[in-house]
Amino acid sequence: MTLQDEVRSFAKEYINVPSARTPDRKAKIRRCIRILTGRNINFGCSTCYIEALYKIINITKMASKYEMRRGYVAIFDQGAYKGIKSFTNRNLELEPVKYEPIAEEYLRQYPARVVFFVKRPMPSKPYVPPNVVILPKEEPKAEVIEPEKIIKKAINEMLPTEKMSGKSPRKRSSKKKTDE
Amino acid sequence: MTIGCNQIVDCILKNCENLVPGVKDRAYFINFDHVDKDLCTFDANNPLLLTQLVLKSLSPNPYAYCVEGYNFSNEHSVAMVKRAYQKVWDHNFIFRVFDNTPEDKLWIDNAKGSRFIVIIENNYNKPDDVLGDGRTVFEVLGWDFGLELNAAERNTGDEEMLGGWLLTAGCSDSLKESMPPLSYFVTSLTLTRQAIEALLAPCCD
Repeated sequence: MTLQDEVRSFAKEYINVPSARTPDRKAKIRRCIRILTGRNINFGCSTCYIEALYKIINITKMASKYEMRRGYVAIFDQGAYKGIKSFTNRNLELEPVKYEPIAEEYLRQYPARVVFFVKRPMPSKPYVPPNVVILPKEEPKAEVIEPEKIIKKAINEMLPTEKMSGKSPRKRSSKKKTDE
Repeated sequence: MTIGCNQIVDCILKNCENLVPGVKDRAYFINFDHVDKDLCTFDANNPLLLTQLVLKSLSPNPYAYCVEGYNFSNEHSVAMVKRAYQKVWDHNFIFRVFDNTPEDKLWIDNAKGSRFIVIIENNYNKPDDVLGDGRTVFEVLGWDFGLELNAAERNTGDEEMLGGWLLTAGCSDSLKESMPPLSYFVTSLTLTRQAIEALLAPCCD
């Protein structure tokens, strides 16, 4: 659970129940607003925390499903897609509805550039590099039951092998005696 | 010795454009540790041309922070330093803060203990039909080691500064940069500005 999720989970209780406004939760709100906005907000009053909570809820509600590394400019090398040649994380933050399909298409065209994405929804199909072939999974072969073999095997296990082969064991010592 | 290593391989012809001195009043500071050097890219033929500057994914989010001067109050200089065996580069950035709030003092005190890279915007923008305009505009200082705050001074009686802060950032005394400042250019000047905008902290707006 991220800090934003944690803050959102106790937001309702924090706003409605004064006893739930613990110093630990206040610290989490302060940290969360700093993460989301990059700046410190005046926390001199108790309502400031509630205002900050509303801000956190609004920001996280609008958050895009995609997030890119700051500073990275995603450029469509082969030409614009839907009239957009390039976009940054700022575009995704400000206009998520417009730019999410663009980001999706960008990753479809350049799957290797996924390293520049911090957050993205799981793709419906996993990415397979062009030089890799995935073979279909082999079905396990059904075992053919042969009653004769089973019976023979069972008999072999029960009786000594030499008797089953029909040969009597050699009596070397007696042979030697006759030669003499 | 490798052929082509540290050898001159190109010409410098007469520049018919008028050089414009100075840097813009707005500079961008990025904490040195926040730059993801593994994902940053350079021009294939020129290691001094940075083509992508990407920050790490951290919590809280890393940003580039703006420092705004006034009326061309920022200064930049670079100089080669000759050492016993190698030659290195000294990057310097002098900037002024025309204020003295507790927040400014906290910023200066934090900067005192940190290392940072600085992106500056030159006034000189050389037009180039082939390679594109804007390749001379943005530069990155302190790529190897980051700059540090070497001096911070406030004199309430100073007639020019009127009680503001004069700050000097530069390389360490011992560790200097291996290269001159990097040029920062992402395909076009528009895209470079877009990239810088994507780095900025919300407080820059």
